[in-house]
Amino acid sequence: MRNWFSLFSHRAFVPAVAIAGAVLVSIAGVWGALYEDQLYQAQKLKEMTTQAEILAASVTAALAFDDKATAQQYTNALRANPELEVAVVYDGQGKILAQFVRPGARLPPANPALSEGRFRHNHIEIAVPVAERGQLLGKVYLSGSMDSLQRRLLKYGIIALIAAMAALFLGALGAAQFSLSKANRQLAEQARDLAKANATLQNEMHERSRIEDALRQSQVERTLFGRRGNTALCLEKSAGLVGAAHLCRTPASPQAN
Amino acid sequence: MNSANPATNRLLAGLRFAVVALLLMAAAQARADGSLEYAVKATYLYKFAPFVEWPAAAFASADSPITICVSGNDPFGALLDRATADQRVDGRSIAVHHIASATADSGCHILFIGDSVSQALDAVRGQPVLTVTDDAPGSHGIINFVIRDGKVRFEIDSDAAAQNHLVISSKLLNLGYRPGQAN
Repeated sequence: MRNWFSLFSHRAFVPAVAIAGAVLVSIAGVWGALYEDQLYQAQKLKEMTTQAEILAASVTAALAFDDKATAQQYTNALRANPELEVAVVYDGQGKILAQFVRPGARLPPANPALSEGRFRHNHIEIAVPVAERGQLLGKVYLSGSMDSLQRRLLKYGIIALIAAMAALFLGALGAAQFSLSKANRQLAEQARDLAKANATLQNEMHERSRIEDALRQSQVERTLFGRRGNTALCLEKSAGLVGAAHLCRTPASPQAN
Repeated sequence: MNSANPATNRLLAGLRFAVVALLLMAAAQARADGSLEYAVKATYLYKFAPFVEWPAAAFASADSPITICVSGNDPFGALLDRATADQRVDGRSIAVHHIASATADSGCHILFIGDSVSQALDAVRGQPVLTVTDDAPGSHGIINFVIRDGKVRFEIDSDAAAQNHLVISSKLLNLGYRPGQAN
């Protein structure tokens, strides 16, 4: 696991990982946009179905008793929805009892077949039955507009673009994090080296202190016993030479003499 | 005088024929209008059913038919039988009975009263029966057919419906004709 992490955290892989991440997030963004579009269409279909069923439930009596004025009143109430372009109430024989058609909208079909919802271009159409307690009385047809494909693509394209930008930002952030980690590692190594050197220096200082103690001891001995020779010389030499204590402990050495 | 002018005689004979023909056509038209009116009323009779709720005790079983009775004078003839053939309301078929006079136990759910309106109304008062009268002056049923602007309309007496333990849908009440209402 650590090896895989090390592999992917290698400097050479960081841009590739960032680009791969950006591509993955972009794909996820496109998938999300398509999913959103599906949700949008389903929502529109649900709205249209609900409105058709409300109108169908309202005009049952008007259809049963051929009351065009009442059916027209209920149909006109749907004008409040600006997305609705056509609303038609058909009687049991398929004749139009009431309708409204917005200017510029397509004319309603003659006796359309019942449909749970159909998407055509940027329109949605639905035809639901009108029935009261099991007695089929007629049908209601609605047609409404949806956002154009270009507008939907633009809307969802912006989402995908934001996702891609977020992916690139994350990649750049990862690269920066990698560089920072590397600098931190170097600093840590330098700190370890410094600590090691410091320890060596401490040891040397300790050794020097010990030699100085030994030399002082030798000087005391010389003073007490009047001896001169290699010890005094050793003291003089060792004053600037750390680690030469062993020379001072060999009074019979010819070099010291 | 009668044989004074053969041409005049032929003209008079032609006029007589034309007058007779016109009278026959008018009579036929009137009969056709009446037939159309009662065809519409016959259709309305069974179409009231989906908009009326009877108490459960009004039916022997869940699939018992809805019974439409015509008491006394029957203006529908075979129209009502034809209109209700193969019709179902809430899973129930529709049966048509032609009876001489209505009684409390005649088993009707919808009663069209052709004559003797007051007696028929008294007979089924408090029973779950939707009474229908045809432009009856004075007392009339829960639903009373009227002709307004050449169309068959109906008035609805919701108080009388409540007395007979019936609930009439607001959808049907909205369609009911109210005196003074603009068409």
